[in-house]
Amino acid sequence: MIGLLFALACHPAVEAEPVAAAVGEAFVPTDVQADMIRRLSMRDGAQPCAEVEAGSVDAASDLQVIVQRVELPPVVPMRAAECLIAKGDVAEGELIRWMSGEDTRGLAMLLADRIDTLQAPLAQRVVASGLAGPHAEVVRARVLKSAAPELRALAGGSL
Amino acid sequence: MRLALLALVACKHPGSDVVDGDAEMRSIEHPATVSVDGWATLEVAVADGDTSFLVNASGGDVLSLDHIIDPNGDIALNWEDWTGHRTLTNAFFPCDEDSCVTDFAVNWPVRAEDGPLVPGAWQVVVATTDPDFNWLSGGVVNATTLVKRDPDLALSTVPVNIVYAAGVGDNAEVVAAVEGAVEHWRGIWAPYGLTLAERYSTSDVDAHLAYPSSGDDALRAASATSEVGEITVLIGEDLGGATSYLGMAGGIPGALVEGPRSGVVVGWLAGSGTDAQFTEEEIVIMAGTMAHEVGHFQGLLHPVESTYTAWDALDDTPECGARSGCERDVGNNLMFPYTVLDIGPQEDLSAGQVGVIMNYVGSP
Ligand SMILES: [Zn+2]
Repeated sequence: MIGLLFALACHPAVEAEPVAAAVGEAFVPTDVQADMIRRLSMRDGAQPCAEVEAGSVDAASDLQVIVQRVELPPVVPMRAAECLIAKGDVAEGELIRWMSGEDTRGLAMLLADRIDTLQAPLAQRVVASGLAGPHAEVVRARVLKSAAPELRALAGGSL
Repeated sequence: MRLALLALVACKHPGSDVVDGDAEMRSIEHPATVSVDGWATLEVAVADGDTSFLVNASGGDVLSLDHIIDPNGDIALNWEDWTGHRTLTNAFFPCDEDSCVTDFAVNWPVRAEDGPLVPGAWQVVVATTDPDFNWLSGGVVNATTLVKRDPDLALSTVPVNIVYAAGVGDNAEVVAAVEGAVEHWRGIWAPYGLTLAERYSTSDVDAHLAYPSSGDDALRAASATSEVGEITVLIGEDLGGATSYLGMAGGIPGALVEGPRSGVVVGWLAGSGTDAQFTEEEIVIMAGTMAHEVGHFQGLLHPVESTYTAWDALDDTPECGARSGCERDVGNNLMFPYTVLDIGPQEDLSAGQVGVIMNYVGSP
């Protein structure tokens, strides 16, 4: 497990192509995305991310679409975001959107709780965006629990 | 936890003059019981008029239900009869892929057809093993049995203590969402003769909740604020360090005395989505989560498990075998394992499921 955490922490964030969010258009998932959404919809269990992603040829993109376009059930985009973070496969711009978007407080909380899984320079930039954004209060409270002294310091904690 | 609910008051149902009788509950404190050859036998004295009992057991070894013997000396329930793809109670199964438990609860009878309860001396035989299911002798089992006497098994007023973890009760939006969800939950239950009698408490347990386990202090602390017989629903921010779970029950069925798995946990963050703000639809889903998890706690399994290869033990919930058929035949059931929005409300209960809930000692 420690090895896995280390691997995640050192995985470079891939600059994935941003997914176009067609604002105002009804979202119609592909068959693959619909299958992933169902797998993410368990009431009181969670299929491993690998199983959620198994049927997709581009899981990162599909998960990103789900985070951006699926609202209900509410757990679905949150689990998709967790899988993306675990993959280490989220573009920096998307992470910063989660941290500082007006309507992404839940994603900011989720990401701040997992900030130690990002590589250090990226984590610092993401934290900085969160502390400068509308969710600064909830981000600060969570980053202060980080294992990384430099991140805690950004949030006003001790080194 | 106080022993103050032993005589339950008659409860009136909204919108009717029907009173669900004078259900009573009494507690039997068993002496510490030493396991012999891997079995610890608990005696339960059942009187005329008693309708069900709930054994709440704990110890140092891995504990599970082995079998129950009725007053005639016949085996009424045996784990060996439930090793297939249908499940009656999780009391038989102390381990999952991650861990084992050192406490469990079993309610008897489970289904309507398992009753009525015959007066006399019942024996509940507890297996004490190691995690590899090797029998262990000499371990001590501590247990409390709650016995319900319920003259009307068609109506029930269920006492529930909703406990906010540290800080959660100060979050006005979450509190409003929970209270809205509770009102919807009341509506889910009403058609089945179930009345929700909730109250609210606060606790200083960390809002980052763990999955219920025998080593968990959060549910132990939260259940300590509940009366004996009251179902504890602990509201935290998230579960197990993730937003992957909307909620989880501490047992199928769950214990009604203070303990590490004595309640249901619900994480509000997963239920409010990426904006952490509750919409009306999300409040309805949270209501379904609460009713679903409390349904587990009252003894209900999923009618079909998420793999579509295992089922509950009820004859009136279909045994479907694939996603499309299951969503068509049983997708609207409250205990369906997936939240599926495009098939309508998932709030149905079968007569068999209602029978299980009514037999649960925590449904007086
Ligand atoms: Zn469930």
